[in-house]
Amino acid sequence: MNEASPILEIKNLHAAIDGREILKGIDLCIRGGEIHAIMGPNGSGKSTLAQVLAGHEAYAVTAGSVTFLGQDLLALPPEERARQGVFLAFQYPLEIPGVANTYFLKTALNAIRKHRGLPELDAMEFLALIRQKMKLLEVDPALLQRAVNEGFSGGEKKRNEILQLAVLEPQLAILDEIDSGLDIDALKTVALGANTLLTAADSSRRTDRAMVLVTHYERLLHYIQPTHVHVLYKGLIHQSGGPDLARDLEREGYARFGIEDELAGAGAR
Amino acid sequence: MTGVVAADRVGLEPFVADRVGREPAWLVAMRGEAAARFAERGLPDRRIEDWKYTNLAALAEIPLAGVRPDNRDVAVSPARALQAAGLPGWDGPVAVFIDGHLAPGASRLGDLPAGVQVASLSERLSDPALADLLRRPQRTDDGLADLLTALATDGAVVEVADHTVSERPLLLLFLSMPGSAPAAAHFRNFFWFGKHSRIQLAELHATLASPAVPGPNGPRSEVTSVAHLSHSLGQSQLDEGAVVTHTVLQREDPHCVYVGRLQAEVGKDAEWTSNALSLGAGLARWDLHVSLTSEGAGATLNGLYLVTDRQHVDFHTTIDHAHPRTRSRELYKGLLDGAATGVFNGKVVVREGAVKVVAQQTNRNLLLSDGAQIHTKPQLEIFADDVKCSHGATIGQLDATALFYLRSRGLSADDARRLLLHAFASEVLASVPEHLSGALSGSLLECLPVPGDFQEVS
Ligand SMILES: Nc1ncnc2c1ncn2[C@@H]1O[C@H](COP(=O)(O)OP(=O)(O)O)[C@@H](O)[C@H]1O
Ligand SMILES: [Mg+2]
Repeated sequence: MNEASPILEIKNLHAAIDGREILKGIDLCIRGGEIHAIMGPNGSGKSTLAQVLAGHEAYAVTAGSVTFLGQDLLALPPEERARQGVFLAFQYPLEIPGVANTYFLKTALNAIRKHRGLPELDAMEFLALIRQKMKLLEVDPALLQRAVNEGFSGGEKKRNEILQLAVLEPQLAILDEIDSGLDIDALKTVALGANTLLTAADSSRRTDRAMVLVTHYERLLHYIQPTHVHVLYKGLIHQSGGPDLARDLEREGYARFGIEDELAGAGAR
Repeated sequence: MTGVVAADRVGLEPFVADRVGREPAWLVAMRGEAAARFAERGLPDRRIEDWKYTNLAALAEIPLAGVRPDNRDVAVSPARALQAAGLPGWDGPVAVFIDGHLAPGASRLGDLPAGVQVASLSERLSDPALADLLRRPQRTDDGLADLLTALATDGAVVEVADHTVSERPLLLLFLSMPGSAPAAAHFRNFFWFGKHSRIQLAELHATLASPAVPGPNGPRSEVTSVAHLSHSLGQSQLDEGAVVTHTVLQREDPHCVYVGRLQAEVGKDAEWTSNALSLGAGLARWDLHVSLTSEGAGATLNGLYLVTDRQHVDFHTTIDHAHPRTRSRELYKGLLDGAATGVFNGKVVVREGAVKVVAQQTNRNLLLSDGAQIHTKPQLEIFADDVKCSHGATIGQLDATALFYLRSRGLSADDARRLLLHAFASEVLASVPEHLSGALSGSLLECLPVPGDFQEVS
């Protein structure tokens, strides 16, 4: 079994929005080098979990704890979490008119580098870095000069999230439905970005980083292979297992778990 | 007298009497009539619809006939003047007016673009064309207009010859120099743009602490502690085919009551772009009036107001589509923080027979605190068929999800907020001439309110 130390430990996490409890006691331990897929029908609380981990203030944590690299994650404001290495790829990336994508990325990277005690990158150094990442991820360079996500297609927004991931190099990446609305080529690129993050120079799996893949569909898991799969339903993890669990889900749908989901069939196609 | 001016205040007559023999008789007579009208109606008050939300009571401190002394010869270097206006990096020509009087020592008039002349109004009164313009009724008819007619003795006259094309903006600085007692400056400016001329013009209005009156932060500070009024009217005329961008940036100190009026007559196939940026003054009232006087005339009105603490800003704009196929586009944006209040009243008139008019108006506001307020009102008066007119106004808050998105990438809450505010303003700032925005952008960014940022100004 994996002997790497835990990156994220969630214990009995309860969270509510507008007084309504959405997460009802989540337990999860993610160690370095692991990829955890969290699956479940719409409305199960997957995005809620992701947003709570990133520090969205609209959600109230009513019980439980989250430890990230040994410290209390819930005590930190969102920017501190980001600087310490938590990254959430949003299910619905925000459009920020008037802010150039390149300016945004550079500001974010330098905020994080500063926190890590690294020198800030100047415009030239940043450009060199971003060019290399864009090439790898086949991101249209024109997107850099445009306002953050403004008028981007669904696929472009998701690629932009992965570009941010590739530039910021977090220790814990949480990808929320990164696969939704992507064609197969875009999906492969996104998977390449995710897999690159977890791959060391000698092609071995990095044990200092980990990933949470939130998805409704099993298709993504052909391209980013999870080490663990969890089924989240109505705010609780109903079942956990290895990659096989995802295959069972694909074959049999959620019904096997006593879960009704009108979309599960569509996901398996 | 019905206005806010107390009955026992000195009238304008002594001032007018003092002009006899120093100015053409018709002008003194015109002043006398205005003084009499003012005695009748006083300053506009809140019973007048256009002044419903703006209270001029602050002017009670200022003797209205107490016109500030002529300070044009006070030793002010161009560098100091530019510093006061927040444009230290400007190395081009600049015309500096102190309380409306052209100050040659503070100006750099040597290399004005070819075809451009800048003069002082008081030296041009014998010019019949100018006399004609001076006699024309002002578009906004109220007690302030009377005050201006009675009391304004100087200002800028800018003439741009036919076919002049200038890449570089023409910069005019209007500096208020309050003395040790509350006083007012009234001045009027004329702008002629000849046929097919293309030019960018920028006016900056700021406060220059007079050397004798050190501000609270030492002699260099431009923040005074004396109430003062800066009251100006600009009249622009665009001849056929002229393409003009006219930027006005107001960043007076918090003790200033600023009244800025601008009226433009846009001729056949001419294009007027107005950028009105209001950052300073305790109270700022703007009246912009555009007449699209011939077919094919177009106007773009951009505005941005940033107010905080107890600042009050009021924009009244009127676009008069008097002829067919005239176009206008208006975008005003406001950021209001603290206990600041704002007013946007955008009137668009399409006269009978003015077919195929296209007019579009947008006003967007962000309220950054619970105490801030905005009153926004579109006013469309359409008397023609076959026109395309639209308007929209929004009042919102900073998008919490967008803030979270930025913070989730490592930006501090303050930086995220600043970035979103700048993004909001950028749509308007984008139309400010590049030469100017380059020199200004740093200071405009500084003006964007983040908590604690504005304290030293108030
Ligand atoms: N901002 C919100 N306001 C109100 N309800 C919300 C909000 N976010 C999520 N919910 C509710 O929480 C439940 C879980 O939603 P979500 O976490 O988005 O599920 P999933 O990502 O698994 O589809 C749903 O019932 C949804 O309506
Ligand atoms: Mg979701």
